[in-house]
Amino acid sequence: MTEEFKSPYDKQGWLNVLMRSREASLVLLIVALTVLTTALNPRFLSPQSLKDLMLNVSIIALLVLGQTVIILMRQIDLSISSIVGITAFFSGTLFVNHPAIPSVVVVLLAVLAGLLLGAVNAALIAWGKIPSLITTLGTLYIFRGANYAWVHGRQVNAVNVPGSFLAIGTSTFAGIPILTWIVLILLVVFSIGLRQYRAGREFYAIGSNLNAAVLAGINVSRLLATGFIISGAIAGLAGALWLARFGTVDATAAEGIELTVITSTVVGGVAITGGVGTVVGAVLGALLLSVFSSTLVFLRVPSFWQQAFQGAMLLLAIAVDAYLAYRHALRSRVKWSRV
Amino acid sequence: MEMTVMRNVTLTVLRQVQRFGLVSKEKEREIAALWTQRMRLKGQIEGPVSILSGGNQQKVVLAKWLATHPKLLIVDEPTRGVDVGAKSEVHRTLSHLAKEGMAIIMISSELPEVIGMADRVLVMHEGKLTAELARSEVTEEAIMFAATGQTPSKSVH
Repeated sequence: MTEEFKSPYDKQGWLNVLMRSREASLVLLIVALTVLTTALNPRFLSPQSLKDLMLNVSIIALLVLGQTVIILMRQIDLSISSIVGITAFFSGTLFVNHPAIPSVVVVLLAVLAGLLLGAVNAALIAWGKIPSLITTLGTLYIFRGANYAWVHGRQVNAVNVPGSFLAIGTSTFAGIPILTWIVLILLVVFSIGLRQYRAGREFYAIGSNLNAAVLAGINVSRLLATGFIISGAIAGLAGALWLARFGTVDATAAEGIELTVITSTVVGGVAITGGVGTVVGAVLGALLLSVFSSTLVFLRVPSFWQQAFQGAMLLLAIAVDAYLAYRHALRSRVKWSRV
Repeated sequence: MEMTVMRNVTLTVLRQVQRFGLVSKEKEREIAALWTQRMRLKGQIEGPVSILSGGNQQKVVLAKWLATHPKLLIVDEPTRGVDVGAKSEVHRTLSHLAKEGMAIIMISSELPEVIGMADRVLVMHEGKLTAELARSEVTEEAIMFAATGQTPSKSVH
């Protein structure tokens, strides 16, 4: 007779379930921060400041989508900032040289450019078998160096870019910026893709236990390559949107953004060791970091403390993760001793 | 390890549960339920495998591969680190499968397990096959002699 042993999950109250759900605790934190800041400075919830917040988060949240796929596989992509920089300048140059070019074409070409750059990473990592940390560290510098050489001290100015394209970066629909809508739609796509599609499952499997994944017949090389190509394409899109948002692009565009993206992703519950986490969580992580930055600004905290706080947030997130896992393991072991 | 039991079991047969790349939740649940029931696996299939005991985790691994309906199953130390109760269940399952016609190669270094389970025992020593014993010939001494590179003396009984 099979007895249905109730797993420890059934006996938990809603508080424990909440604590175990990273996404839920992130939402709670964001709400708490918002309430706190608004209490101290009501202008935090004004339409203008909310719009600024959404615009600030959007590009990072977009990059987080691609990075999540990578980190789920226990890899890392440091080169995204350089890809964004190149494709942003590329998009601007397209407008400068071909003023009549439709915005859609520019976006598509930017995505294609990002895709190709991502393919360089893919080739080195999936077939060259070079660890992703080394590879993307290398391409981070190589791509940025190439960008500097190409830009050659020039810059793209907002006047060169058609108003209709810049409008993507500023106008809203139903109160939410177009930029944010784009990211939200992609968030849904990625979320469904990772959860319901076979390839999505396989990304998780590779990160959780590479050997088991290989033995289960998963084509690891193909998935690794796909992941980095996706990351590149996303970065390409982010580059085009960067131009739309800022209008002015020089050789330093997006420099350093890769660290914020990775921090957001890990704070959002995507373990750096792979196999765990969701895109929703990762985007919430990005939102949390953004809200936190805004909070610091509204509380008139000197801006050089911002980075320190971000780092502290990251360490706190990892510490909380480790503690929860420890408690969880303890609890499970105690229950099982009765079996 | 972080995945649920359900996901683990269907990992090897993802092609069967999908349609145009989209995984069907009902099929997934069906296959997972079927195999965890066959393995007499306790606990919910929606929970993560990391909270299961070693024996139950081993059952999940077995279920994962049995779900592919193999003609030949190779198990390497199937009950290492498994508690006694689960050990006998794994043995029972393997015997049952063999009876149903599945060919099973079990690699083990536990003498009682080998003697109790095998219809035929192949012993290796330093990479070479040193003995092939039918069930009737199997004794602890015969196996140990072959495993240490000597030949069993037929006059010693």
